[in-house]
Amino acid sequence: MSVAALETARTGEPGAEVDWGKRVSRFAVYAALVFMALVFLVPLMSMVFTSLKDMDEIRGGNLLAPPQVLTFEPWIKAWSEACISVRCDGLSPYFINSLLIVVPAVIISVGLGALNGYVLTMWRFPGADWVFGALLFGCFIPFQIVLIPMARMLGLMGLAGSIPGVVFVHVVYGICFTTLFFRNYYASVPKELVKAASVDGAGFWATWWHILLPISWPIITVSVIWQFTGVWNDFLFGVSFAAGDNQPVTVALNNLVNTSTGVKEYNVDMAGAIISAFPTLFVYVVAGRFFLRGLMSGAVKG
Amino acid sequence: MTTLAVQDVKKDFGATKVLKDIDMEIGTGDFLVLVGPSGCGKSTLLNIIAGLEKQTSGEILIAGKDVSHLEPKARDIAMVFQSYALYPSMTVERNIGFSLEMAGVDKATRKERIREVAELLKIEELLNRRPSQLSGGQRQRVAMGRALVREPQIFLFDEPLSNLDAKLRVDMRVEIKKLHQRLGATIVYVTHDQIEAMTMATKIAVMKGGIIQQFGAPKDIYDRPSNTFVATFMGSPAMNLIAGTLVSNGAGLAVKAGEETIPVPGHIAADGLSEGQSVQLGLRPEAVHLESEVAHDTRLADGWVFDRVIEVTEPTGPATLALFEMGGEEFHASLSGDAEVEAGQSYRFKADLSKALLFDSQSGDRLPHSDEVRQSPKTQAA
Repeated sequence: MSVAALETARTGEPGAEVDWGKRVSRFAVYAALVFMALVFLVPLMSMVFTSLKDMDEIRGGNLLAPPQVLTFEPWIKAWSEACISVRCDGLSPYFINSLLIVVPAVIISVGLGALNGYVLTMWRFPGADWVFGALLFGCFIPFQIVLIPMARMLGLMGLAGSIPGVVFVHVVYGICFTTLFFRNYYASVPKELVKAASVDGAGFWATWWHILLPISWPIITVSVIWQFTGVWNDFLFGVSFAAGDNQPVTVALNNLVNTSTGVKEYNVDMAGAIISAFPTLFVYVVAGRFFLRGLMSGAVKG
Repeated sequence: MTTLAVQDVKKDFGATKVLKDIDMEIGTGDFLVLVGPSGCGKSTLLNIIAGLEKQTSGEILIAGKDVSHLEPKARDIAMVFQSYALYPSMTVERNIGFSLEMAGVDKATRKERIREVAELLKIEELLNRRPSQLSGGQRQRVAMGRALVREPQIFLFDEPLSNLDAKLRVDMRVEIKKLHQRLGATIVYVTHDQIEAMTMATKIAVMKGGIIQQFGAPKDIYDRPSNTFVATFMGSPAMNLIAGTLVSNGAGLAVKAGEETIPVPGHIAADGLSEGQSVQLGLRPEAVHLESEVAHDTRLADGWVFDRVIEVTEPTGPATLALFEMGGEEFHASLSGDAEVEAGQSYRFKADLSKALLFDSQSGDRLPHSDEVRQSPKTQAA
């Protein structure tokens, strides 16, 4: 009987009700998504608007209102004129410092991670699991714990306060993560590939370079994004191990915003914050696309 | 000429002895198939020949040269892997030419050799594709091309057909055999499939537990297996073994198994046999016929006749398999495809004993034929 009732209900109203239900739930999903996007976008919008206003408008106006008169003055000031401690060259020299730190730190840590992952999966040696365990352990060491021993190390190495010193610290911290990424990625690569290469006459380096690296794009992208954002956004190591003119942009931004003398220039602060955050956004947008592409090509291969 | 010699090779993984004293030789142009159940050590042996694994002791000689401690690339071998192991990022052309590239062969020569191999394997139109764009059979060909291009002393195949579907497997089997005949190449081929072993090999090594159970031509292995393991491993359905004891039966001996008394055929040497000895009589399924179909066949005049109720029939087309019970064990008979038999009915069967074998129950070793005893009494010990 219940089956018959269901049957009439289904045939009596041809699908209209079901359709509405679908629409309502779809609408709810989109509404929630839009709301959440706004929650994240409003602060950014406020930053952009504020950075394009002059100080008078900021003082008199609404935080969320678009600028009445567009001005790029704060951006120019933040980039090249603002005074940070005793220097009045804006963020630009520190931005360059950050680039000088992040580029070698990312290249070296990703390269070493790839090499470690390759050795730990394809050229296993006695105790390989212990080495991997130790590296894995490194992922869980809080930054603060190593500050003092690391400072002593850098001093002994003659790298105290220098950019290479900061690069070194980031590389040491980074290889734990990049090794983990690459090891897990290479663990899914069939061992027969390496055997075949070995029969074909490729040695240790040739196998890595010709066979494994060209299929590592997805994990290289993941590691680069991870390392780039981590190193670029780092404040603690920068403030601890880089002295004066060698400081990265994060530390400079802090100094710019926290200057206690004179008028607080919110527009310059906002422009500086956006400038500092820009490279990581850029890497996400550009590399993220490659990342997706890598995933897709793997999926289609089947 | 001896192309490959394996001498006293042992391999231990810790306390586990994977290979125990492997000794064998094959000549130029031989197609050796290493066959056995999984875990018998056949792939390990192949890897040791290739140099991908190190033997615990013993020597490998290729074309007379001791290569035991050389890298794979220095051994003048090429290998085809089960998963094909094509390099995913490279085109088919570069895959095939990669070994030449590593050896520093110049580009023009490389192109020429790749073209020749591609022509031989009929894969010219695939050269610019990547492995992910190929079907299973095409990948198989490319993997073979990668081996062929090196013109090695020995080709090593590690279960190359096990990832293909049944139809393609039969096609590729023929193709590999053709290639072998055309090139006269020396091949060592690992498989767990006894049909592949029988159809392709010129020599078969049947392995179990890290030991070569028997080494010989396919026909010898099939007709004169050295023990019950080889007898039941080679051939499908497997050889029937009837357990019984030897009793005297008029002039000669017979195997008494339950209520059946089966005369010991004349080709088995009587010298070593004694009354009361427990033995197993080996009978291939195809040696058993319906009595009604072979009543007038004079060759089977002194065959063994018995009655049984068939439990299950399996018509395969060319043959009808019948399953019944014999001395508490299952017994398979491969009857003609036209045999009209039904499960649950009793039939009279006649078994051709001219190829029957006798095994010692204790050791499982085959008891020698009379022609073997006269020639060399030690043959069975090997």
